[in-house]
Amino acid sequence: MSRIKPLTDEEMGDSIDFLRPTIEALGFLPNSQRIMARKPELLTGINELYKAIMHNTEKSLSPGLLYLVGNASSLAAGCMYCVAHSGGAASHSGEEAEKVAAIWEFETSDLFSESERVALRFAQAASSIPNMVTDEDFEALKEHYTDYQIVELLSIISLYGFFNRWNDTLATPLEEEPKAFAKATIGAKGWAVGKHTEE
Amino acid sequence: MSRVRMLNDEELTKYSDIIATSKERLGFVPNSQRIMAHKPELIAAYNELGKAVMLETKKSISSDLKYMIANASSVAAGCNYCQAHTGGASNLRGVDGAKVAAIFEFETSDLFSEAEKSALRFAQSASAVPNMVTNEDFDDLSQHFTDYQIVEIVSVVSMFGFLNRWNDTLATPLEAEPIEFGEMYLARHGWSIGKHAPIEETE
Repeated sequence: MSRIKPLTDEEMGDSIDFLRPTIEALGFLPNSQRIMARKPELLTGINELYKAIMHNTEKSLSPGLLYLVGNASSLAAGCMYCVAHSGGAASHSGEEAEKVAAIWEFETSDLFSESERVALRFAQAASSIPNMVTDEDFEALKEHYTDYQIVELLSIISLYGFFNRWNDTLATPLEEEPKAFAKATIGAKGWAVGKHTEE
Repeated sequence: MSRVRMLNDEELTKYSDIIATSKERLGFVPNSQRIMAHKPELIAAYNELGKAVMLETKKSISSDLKYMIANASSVAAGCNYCQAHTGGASNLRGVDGAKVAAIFEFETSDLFSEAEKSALRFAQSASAVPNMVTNEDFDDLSQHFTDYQIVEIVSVVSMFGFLNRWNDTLATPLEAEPIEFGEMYLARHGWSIGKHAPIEETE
């Protein structure tokens, strides 16, 4: 059920044009953005922020790791729409589906390196309410990452702070592609579409 | 203490146009952005999104209400840095400090209209983990606000989803102006500076 109706292509008119690359990459335009489109400046703003955070420089972390971090973050916040999307994005960025599924047990899974575990642990703690991050977590991060990379990790966690509230509040209906991906990879782990259904 | 080094004024010079709007809204350069500036694309795009969320069109809810929603959202998430900032920004815009402080008891305070109460209640539920918003909350909001305005309300709550995580994770040191505001109006309601206390940078 959608609490605010996502706009159709026709209703979006010209404001859909700058999203053609997104649509091409994903195969669809996320319903979350079809709701943002009700205030066009907001739709532009969030897309720019998203691009900036994923902007890959020579100092950057890999997009795959950033999406895995976004996934752990969404899981901690309980937004199943965002879990499906970020898992799908990690997979598109080259992470194995098996690894996306193993995020539910990253502390004990040997699919993750120690530096990845530190990042995922950080994502969980930073996405809890109240916030659970300690000075010791930062010390552990600094053994594996530069300040620039820590800013990147926290920026994707914070971006999902936006998306987790947006989508879990709106009960945004999950689209077919991420639904199929999530069912196949993490359905057995306890992921369910819940309130994010079309009806 | 700051968990990631903050850029100083000299390092920030090249971003002065980018941060001008924030500076005007708050009355100072927020330390949160001194950390975002480590990645230039991030500080630029963050500021653009902030402007889009706060942009007031003919169809918009008032900016005062947006700041109140941001404040209620930050209280629910427990980010004392964001709470002092949003409260201080409301106050700077002319909202009485007593009304900002009354957000702690908005349900029973007669300083708030029914529409404001509905928006603040929604902000609280939308900022909880797990998310507590129900279809009934949307029915209630719809009695006071248009779909466009509800999108604005959710956008403010979500923007603070970004900022609450950012600042509470970094333990961003609070600046002098919001400290003063917090101590004057919020402290008696249980607000404290906690981990956001300013500490002399050694570098």
